[in-house]
Amino acid sequence: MLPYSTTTPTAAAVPRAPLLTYRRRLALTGILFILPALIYFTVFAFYPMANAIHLSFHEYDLLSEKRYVGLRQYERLFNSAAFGRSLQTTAIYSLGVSVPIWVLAMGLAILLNQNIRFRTFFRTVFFTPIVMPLVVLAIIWTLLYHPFGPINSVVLAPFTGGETIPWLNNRQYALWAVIIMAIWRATGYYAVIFLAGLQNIPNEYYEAARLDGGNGWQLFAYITFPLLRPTTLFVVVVSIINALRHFDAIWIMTGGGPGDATTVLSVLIYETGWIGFNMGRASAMSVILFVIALGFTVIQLRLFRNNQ
Amino acid sequence: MVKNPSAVRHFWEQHGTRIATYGVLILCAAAIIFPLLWSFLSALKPKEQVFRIPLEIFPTEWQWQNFILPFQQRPFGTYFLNSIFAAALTILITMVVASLAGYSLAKFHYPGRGIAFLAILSTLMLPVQVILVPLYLVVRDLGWLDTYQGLIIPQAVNAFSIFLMRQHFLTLPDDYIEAARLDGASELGILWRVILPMSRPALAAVAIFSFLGSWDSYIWPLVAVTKENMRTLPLGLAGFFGEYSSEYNLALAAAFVMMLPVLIVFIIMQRYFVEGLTRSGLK
Repeated sequence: MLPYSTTTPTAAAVPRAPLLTYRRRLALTGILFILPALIYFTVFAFYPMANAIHLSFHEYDLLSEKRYVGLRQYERLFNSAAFGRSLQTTAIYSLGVSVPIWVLAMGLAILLNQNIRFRTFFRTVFFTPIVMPLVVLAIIWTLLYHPFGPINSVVLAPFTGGETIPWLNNRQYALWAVIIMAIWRATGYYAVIFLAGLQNIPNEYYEAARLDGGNGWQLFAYITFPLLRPTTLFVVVVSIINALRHFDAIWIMTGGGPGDATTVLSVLIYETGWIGFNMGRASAMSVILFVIALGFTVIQLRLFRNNQ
Repeated sequence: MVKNPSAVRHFWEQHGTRIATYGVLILCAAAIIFPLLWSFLSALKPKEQVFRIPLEIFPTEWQWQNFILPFQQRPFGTYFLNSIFAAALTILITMVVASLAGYSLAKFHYPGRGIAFLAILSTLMLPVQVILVPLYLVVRDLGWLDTYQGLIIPQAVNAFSIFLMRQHFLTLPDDYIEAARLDGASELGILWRVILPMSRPALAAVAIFSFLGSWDSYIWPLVAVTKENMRTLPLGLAGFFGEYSSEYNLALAAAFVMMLPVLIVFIIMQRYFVEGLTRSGLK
């Protein structure tokens, strides 16, 4: 018998068979196209993540064999005063950066959303710091904070009478100094995000409310703020998560000091790993940082789901 | 804006609001422009003039050679070339991987697609410090420490680029793809000749963000590279600043050399910046 007659397809199967293979071929193409990305992230994100957890149960200094120690690294961390202080610094830093940003960015966005001239100019200017290289901004701000720099000698001179505040060399001021720099850098960026949200609110709402005699504050409280909720939630969570990973500017401006005044978690991880060569301990800290970031992500997902 | 014709008082109220609005906006703009302007002018000053009190805005003599001196004291030329090379390769790798993955996520159906998308997105929430140690170990085990591949590849692909490409591809109608298939084009050919030519703005956005990310990258090169001739600009600049921290004018001049390409890209491609960044919320 000839090969093609052996199959004896039924009437129904004839049109379906090629369709299936066609679909399957397309599915295969799709998988093939995403494979490079998946392999990439497996090697450079997922595997390292799993390995971070693995390493956190070990003692490892890069040179000698790693040694399993169970939960000892975590135990030591939670009994360590330095780690506790770093967590506290991280909390102050993240909230100290984020909370003012929420208020300032929303305010700026509302101003930008008015019928103003030169909006593009203002938006461009406010957006500039976020695209500037952090190393560059860190150097600029280190000099702005210099005891004889413009912040002391120009901005604050009328209030302090020319007193020289050693911003970055004083335990009391250093953390606030790096916080102010981070606020300066990111506010305009979040303002542009808020602005995008504001522009989605139909103008008719405001016109109707004005006809009903609503004042500026009422317009904000009953129209702007509720309708801006999704954007606000987004900014709240993302700004905190972003602040948790700040490292570059702090490291260049203060190196985590003076003492450990600006040693946020990401700085402590770097110091522990690359100055102390204590990779197990650094990994345990990484896992804790990851759990914190994950916590905020979960909150964000929850809030968004409830919102929709 | 003056819709209410009733009272003069009302007109002044609105006028007052407008003045306050412009006042705040101008003040905020000044708060951003002034530090940048001061640094630029200080880069041109003689060293002793930078912190002279009372503060002097303009240089007593304009020392344009300050922009050249760092190149003579440190191999800034090498740093610059390394940074350019790293940025170029990063852009290339991201564009290829993100186009393929984004196209796959937007236009193909297969089991596990949703999970793959979520897994890729989840890397955006992963602070690099979390995987710094194990990533270093991966690169060490690959024998890539102090190499260009070790410097570039672990940071080359960003999930945000994939997200951006996917969102863009979703807006393209399937008809183009179907028509090209009927004409017998290969799947890769469709992406290359039909889809990507329609995707220039998205590709531009991806290129810009990869460029910025790579140009700015500090913590990864800090651990991946120890040799002087492998250093990128952020490392070189931070090192220079650490060592010559009292040569304020030179440090600022070097900083502006590093900032120049970013400023140029920012001014030329501003539209894509704002669009892409606001869509992501992440940087």
